[in-house]
Amino acid sequence: MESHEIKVMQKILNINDRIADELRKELQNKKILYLNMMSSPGSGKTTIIERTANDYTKNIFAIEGDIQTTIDSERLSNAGIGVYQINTGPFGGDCHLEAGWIRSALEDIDLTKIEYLFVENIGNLVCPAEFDIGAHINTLVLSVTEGEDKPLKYPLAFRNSQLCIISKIDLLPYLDIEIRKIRENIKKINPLIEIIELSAKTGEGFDAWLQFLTRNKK
Amino acid sequence: MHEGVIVKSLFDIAEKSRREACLQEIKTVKVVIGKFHQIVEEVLRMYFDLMKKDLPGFEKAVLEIEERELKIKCKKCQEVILLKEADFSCPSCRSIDIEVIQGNELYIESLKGKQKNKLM
Repeated sequence: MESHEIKVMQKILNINDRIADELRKELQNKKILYLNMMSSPGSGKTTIIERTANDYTKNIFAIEGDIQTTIDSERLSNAGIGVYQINTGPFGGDCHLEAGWIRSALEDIDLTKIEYLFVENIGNLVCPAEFDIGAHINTLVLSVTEGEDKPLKYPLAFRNSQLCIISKIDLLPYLDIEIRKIRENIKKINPLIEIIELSAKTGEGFDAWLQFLTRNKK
Repeated sequence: MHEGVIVKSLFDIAEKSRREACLQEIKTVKVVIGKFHQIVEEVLRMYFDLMKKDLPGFEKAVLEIEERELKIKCKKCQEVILLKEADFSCPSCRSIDIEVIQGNELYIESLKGKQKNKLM
């Protein structure tokens, strides 16, 4: 036997990326706006979706990604919207969702009358950013309590997103941080990203979020 | 800890390529990883060494990693910049109309191994 080198030149995540592209097109054809909500744990993703369902429309479906528990999906179900739970715990506690899981979930979901599909990714600013799940809008939720430096520490997540929601702004009076610095750091990583500041608790800034949804749905 | 999933996908592609090229014993798997990816090299190697034991033909394989720096090109003044810190704007003209030209790579470049002589 002789030694031999072969060129492979294939993207390692090519299968994931192919499924993601198919999902993007499929949901666009169905006129459903598909958002991938990424953040650290506890940034308020579920509360934002909950309030969106209560204030805006029930034509929302949410796919909830968590390592364990159905706490978030129960909350959203109580808000009157359809929910599908993915627990990655049984698969070894994976810290992100992949396009294939969304593909499988959609086989069990009736999307008739649905206008918005939210995927609440697993709370983590590292791994979810590596996997395209086919969303039309990657949305990064950053709560003000996380500090000003997170965009610089986790650049991929901010660079790969089209929208950044700065959440929990009702807490600003109690914190020694400047929202101007958070915005500057986000824009350093992604100058073209859209930024919305809001509080899902008080409703401040929610108009801009709902306008964003309406505008991008068209 | 997404490195395990990445190594699994890597082996799926490498095994298919190995079979197609009739390679027997793989010596090297070369991958190219851009700095933009948040992949921990030690963890990637750990998963590689764990998983290769269960994959015939790859038991003695070594993972070779070529790391690529992050480079952007300013579309306004055409300057190419090697990014040392995360600031995606042109340091010369401050334009934000830039293109990432290197650093997003995540692919298998090649396999090296012993090839069974093909019968004519």
